[in-house]
Amino acid sequence: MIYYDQCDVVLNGSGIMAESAEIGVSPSLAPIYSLGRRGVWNQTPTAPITSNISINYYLESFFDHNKNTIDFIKTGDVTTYAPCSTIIIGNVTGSGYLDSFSFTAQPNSPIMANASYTCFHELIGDLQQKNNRYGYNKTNSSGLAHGYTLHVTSSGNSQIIPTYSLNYSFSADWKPMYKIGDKNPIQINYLGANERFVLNRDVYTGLNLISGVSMTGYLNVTGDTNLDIISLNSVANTTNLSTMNFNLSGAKVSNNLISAQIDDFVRIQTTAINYI
Amino acid sequence: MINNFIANGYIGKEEQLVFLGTEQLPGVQNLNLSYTNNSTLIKHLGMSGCQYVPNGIPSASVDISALLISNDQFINFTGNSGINGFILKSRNNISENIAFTSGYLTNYTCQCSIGQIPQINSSFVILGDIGKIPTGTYSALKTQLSSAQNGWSTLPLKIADPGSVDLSLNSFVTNRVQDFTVNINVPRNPIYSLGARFPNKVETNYPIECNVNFNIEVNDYSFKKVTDYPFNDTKDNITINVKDLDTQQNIISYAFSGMSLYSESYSANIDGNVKATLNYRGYYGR
Repeated sequence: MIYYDQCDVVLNGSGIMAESAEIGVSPSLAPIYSLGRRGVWNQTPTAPITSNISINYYLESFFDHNKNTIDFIKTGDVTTYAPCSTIIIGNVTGSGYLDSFSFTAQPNSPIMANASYTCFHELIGDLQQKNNRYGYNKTNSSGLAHGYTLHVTSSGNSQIIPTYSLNYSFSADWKPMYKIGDKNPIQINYLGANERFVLNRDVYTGLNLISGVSMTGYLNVTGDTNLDIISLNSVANTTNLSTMNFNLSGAKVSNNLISAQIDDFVRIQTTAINYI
Repeated sequence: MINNFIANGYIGKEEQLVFLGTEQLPGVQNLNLSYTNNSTLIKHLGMSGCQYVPNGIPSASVDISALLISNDQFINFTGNSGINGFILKSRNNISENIAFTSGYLTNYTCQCSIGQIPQINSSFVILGDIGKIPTGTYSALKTQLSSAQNGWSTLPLKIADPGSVDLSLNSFVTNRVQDFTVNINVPRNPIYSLGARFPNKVETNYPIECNVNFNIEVNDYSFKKVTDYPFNDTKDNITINVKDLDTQQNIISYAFSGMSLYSESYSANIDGNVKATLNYRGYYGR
């Protein structure tokens, strides 16, 4: 038996503080029937084996491999190189392509991120206890992402029109290319990606949904479109800070939802989508 | 930590000057100030050491009990505004303080009984900072501390006693009121936003609930019945004036309109006269 504190979760060689992690392996099997035979003759694979990995972890603003992958997809040559992550859970290792990444930020709470991957190659390794090879929480919590220090928009402008909660999600599509005679894909093609921002505020601006409204100028009067997650230690000092940045320019508002209920203020939930 | 407040030896009651804003509170009988921070253990797969992270809203509160002397300095905070407060050992040393910022009153109670000076109990939820706060940290607090150092306006001493109370309900002319309690509940809703530690705004969750309770010795009081509600229930306008026993000037006046009598009790025993308890309730919007 491996207890939770003995189970490493590692992403590209760095330990990440995961509350939960899952690996699911699924061969695509189909039953074979035949005239003259009763019942199933056999089960046989109809597609390559794939694995799905999902991790829920404390986001650290000083460095995040998934954020690096997203930045590469946005700006790098993803047609030549499909970024792949090495994920280890309890010594079981897979090479995964980022399907989705998301986090929800609430006031007064650390930010938890969720990432899921698809592996088109076989997993390797057996379940084993951790061997103290990987370190966790290298900044002793000072680099954690937190609702205190997430600013929509940049830290100097975030209270002009406050944001009361934020959900960010990214999703990407990958297609493996196979050839006869090879169980593993010869190439992974990138098909497309998008990112979605859902903000909760108390200001309503009418929308012309037919033409789409850009987030530039929509968030506040300064035109700032930055979403900055500064490290937690910024509440105490202004040195050794790290910032994870997202940019909402290019995203268009797709939905506004006004909701009112007792014992609460009227909330406006704005959803914006950026296609990459 | 409270212990840092102790310079040398123990602190007696004469070295506890209690202020709300710039006003020193007279007649304080009891004060309790406490907080709990929001540290939470980080648990994760593969963990070895223990680290903490802020998670949730810190809880902090101040409870003050004071005799009704000179005036009532708490009733004004049943509205929308908050208040800073502090305790000084000496007006000459404002850096030795226990203080709080952004205190919002959540519960106010005034009790008046025969044989006792009327007393006010108040509870505040603290939505800013609390503890030993350096004087330069918050500008509003610094201004108020400086004002305390420079002296405060002298309030004339006024003392109420139960004999100096006027009650407006007609039934209380011939039925003897033994004691009454006025209670005001003010629920607060702090609104937090991303990118800040303190609330962006503090809303009052209207309606505000007011309760007035009387204990009387029955003479000719006419009891109601439970089925009087909803179409024959009793609604009264209640006015209570608490006066200075010497000058008969008002120290504080309460006026509640449309209070609903929702509960009565009838009590008889071998040791005294028949007694009744009457409970009134009203809700007041913005």
